[in-house]
Amino acid sequence: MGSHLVRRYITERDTEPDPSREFEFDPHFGFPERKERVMIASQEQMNLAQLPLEQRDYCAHYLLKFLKCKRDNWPNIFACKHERHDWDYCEHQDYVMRMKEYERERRLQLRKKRIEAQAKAA
Amino acid sequence: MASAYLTHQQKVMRLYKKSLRHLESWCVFRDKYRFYACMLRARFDENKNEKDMVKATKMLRAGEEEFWANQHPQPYIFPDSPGGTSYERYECYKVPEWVLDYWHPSEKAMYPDYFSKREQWKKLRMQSWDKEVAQLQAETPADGPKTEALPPARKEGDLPPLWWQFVTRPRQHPT
Amino acid sequence: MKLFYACSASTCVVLILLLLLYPVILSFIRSKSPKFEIYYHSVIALGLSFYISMMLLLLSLILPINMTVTILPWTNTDVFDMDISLQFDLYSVMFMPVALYVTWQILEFAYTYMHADPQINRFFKYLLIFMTAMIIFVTANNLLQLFIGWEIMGIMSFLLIGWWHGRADANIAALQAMIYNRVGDIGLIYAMAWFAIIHNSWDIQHIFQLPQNEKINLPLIALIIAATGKSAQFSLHPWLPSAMEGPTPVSALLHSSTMVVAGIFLLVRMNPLMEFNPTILTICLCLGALTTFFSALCALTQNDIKKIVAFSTSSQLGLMMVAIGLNQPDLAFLHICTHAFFKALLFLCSGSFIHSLNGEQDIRKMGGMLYLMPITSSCFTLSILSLMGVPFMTGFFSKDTILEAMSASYVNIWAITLTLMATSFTAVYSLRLIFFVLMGRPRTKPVSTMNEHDPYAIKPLVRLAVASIITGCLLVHYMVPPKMPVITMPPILKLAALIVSLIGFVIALGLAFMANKQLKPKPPSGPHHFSNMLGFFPTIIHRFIPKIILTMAQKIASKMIDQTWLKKTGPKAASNINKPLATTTSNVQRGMIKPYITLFLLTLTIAGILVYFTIF
Repeated sequence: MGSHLVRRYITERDTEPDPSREFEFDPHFGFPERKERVMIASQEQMNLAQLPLEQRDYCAHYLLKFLKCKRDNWPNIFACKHERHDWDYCEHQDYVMRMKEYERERRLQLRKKRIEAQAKAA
Repeated sequence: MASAYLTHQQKVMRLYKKSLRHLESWCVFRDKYRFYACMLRARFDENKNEKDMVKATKMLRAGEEEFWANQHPQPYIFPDSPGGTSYERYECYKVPEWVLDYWHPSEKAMYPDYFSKREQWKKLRMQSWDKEVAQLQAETPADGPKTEALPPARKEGDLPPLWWQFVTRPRQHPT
Repeated sequence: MKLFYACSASTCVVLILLLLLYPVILSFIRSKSPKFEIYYHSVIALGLSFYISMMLLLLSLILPINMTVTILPWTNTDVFDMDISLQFDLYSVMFMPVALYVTWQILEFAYTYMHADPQINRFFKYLLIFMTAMIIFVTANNLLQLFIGWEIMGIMSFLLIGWWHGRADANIAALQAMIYNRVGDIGLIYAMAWFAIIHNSWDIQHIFQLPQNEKINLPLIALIIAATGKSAQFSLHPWLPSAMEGPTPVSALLHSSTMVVAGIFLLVRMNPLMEFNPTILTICLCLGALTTFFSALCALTQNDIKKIVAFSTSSQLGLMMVAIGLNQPDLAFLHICTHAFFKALLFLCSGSFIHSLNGEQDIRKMGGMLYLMPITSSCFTLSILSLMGVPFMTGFFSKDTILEAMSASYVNIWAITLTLMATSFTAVYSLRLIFFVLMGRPRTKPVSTMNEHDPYAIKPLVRLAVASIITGCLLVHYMVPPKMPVITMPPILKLAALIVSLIGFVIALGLAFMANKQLKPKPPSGPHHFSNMLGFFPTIIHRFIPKIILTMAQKIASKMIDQTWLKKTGPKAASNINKPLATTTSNVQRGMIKPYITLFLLTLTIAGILVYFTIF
């Protein structure tokens, strides 16, 4: 909770990346084999399900399954535990991945600063 | 406080009562309150035979100061007392009693006992009113009354002045 | 399918409104009705409306979409269109049954509590009008409809706080509520005016299409002010504890579960506007954190049971505001719903205690209720546990999620700290309530007539207690959150809320048992005074500032206007100027020969000089 705030406002003010902006470094930098993620749920499917914009993420296909299950089991609101868990787990993975990306960006920023400092010293 | 009008004894007694009430507000539990109330009583009793008025007044002053420093910001107030939570609560349901005189006879007929008694009261009032006023005028000093308390009936067979207000007071709680 | 849903939903709402208004209209038509007639009608009306709204809730499970239904056009001019339209989204569909259920139980309870009141018919009529306004507010799809509901709720709050209008304090409290709410209303009116002028529409769906830029900050701040007034956020909060002057069912219904959340509900409704606006979100967050902390602090040392519960309401409202500031309106809304149950229950239980103690509200004079009123006490404890967020009670599902979302998020650390401290304070004052009201030996007057024989007094409590155990679970399963709550966090953050509550609980337990010892009564300390005198806020706002204004006005009126302008520059100045002239003139003409001769000589000389210069 506190560490990122300390870094952002006190210790590493210039290198802390801003999550609301696009990251500076190439995603393939250091990971040449990594591929771009693909969206599994299609635009058409999401339109039909009338998903709000903020839910059209990479886990939308799980959400669609979950919603369908909910509808099929009406009016049992306790049904679809597994579908819900799948969706939550996917969101969790997504969150962890984003945090890792953030950390990578931060360390790359630090590295860049270090390299610049060495270049200046040399 | 209208301290100029109180005797020293009254002041000390008021201080004692005030202190007890505030002590009760601080000490919630009865056993604890009892203990400290006894302690307080002992402190008052210690100097009850003080004859030197200068010393006694100084002690009273010190007592008042100590009370002020240790008073409770939210002392316990009885619900019906001024400042309490249900003080004046049912005031809005109180109807002045003269309204009863304007009831329709058919309505009055529903409470025959009360209204026959009421007629008697009214007669009694007509008889005693002049005497009441005379007594009040006789007992009021020329420069206005000294107290709000009404005097009792002085003579055998007389009714106390303004007794009507007490007999026909509206009830405290609505039913 | 969609058409069917739209038709049935709007029919449901219209039916509910008609049902609720039926007893009110009935009382207008019939000149004199038996004493409890309105009560019976309104209980039936509320029960039926609750089931109808439940049907709507179940229907909306199949179609989890937002739907707007225009019933009929209202005013259609060339430039401005306005329709009577209803909105059926998660919020309105879910809030209706919650509010109706709580109101139903409170009305049943009010039957016992207000039994002796001569005006009981009018009381229930007010409550029904209030409920109608609440439904109008919740389902409104344009700002004017929303505003109508908002204002009727305000008026009803005023009337119900001042229910015992023979009492001076009640009148003051009612006026205070009115005036504080007025500030909020100005905010809402400003926002409406802004949308009407700039966007030319009051339709909420249209407003959401606005371009999200910096300019929208102004109406959004106005909306926050509106919410601040209605939901008793910090700086406009003192009316909420004062509103406890009203009868306890009123406090339970208006000032804890339904009306005061209207401000938060407004912000939840308008959330799409502030979603991407960090300034506004930060304002909400800090305001909410300050409110929740400050109110919890004030609740710590109060002695009036209703005041404590009122401050805890204010604190929970602050928590909802925090959730809005975290950009999690769904969590705020969930907390609105769960809070309604357990806070209404808490109020009803304290009302039950107060009623059986003949109007005694001071917790110093309670105690031992556990043995005297076991069922009420159990319900009281359940609601308090729910309030503290004990796992798997209703409050846990919303409160804990908000705190998790907050501690895992990237926001102001001060806000987080304040909110966590407020959470531990919640545990402290909750335990204090239990300790003083339920435990120990009775400190009441010896003649007490308390019993639990009246089923009308007990049934609503039990029903609400059941609700405040299970609804959290039900609601969470019902809702598919449109916004993803934070689910990934280290265990320490997951447990943070619980740990903080536990710490508060343990500390309070230690302090409570110390209070029972024969320690010396503590001399009053600064922090105690600060908390006990409500942070000196009412003193400063209600006394100090008016006093300054009064003194200044007095100075201006007497010193500046009267003495300076009207006296010094007016008559005084005229006389001061004239006086030397008059003295000089009169001094000359005092019948003395010397001045006359001097004057004569002087004029002669001047005349001589003039003649000399004219001739030559």
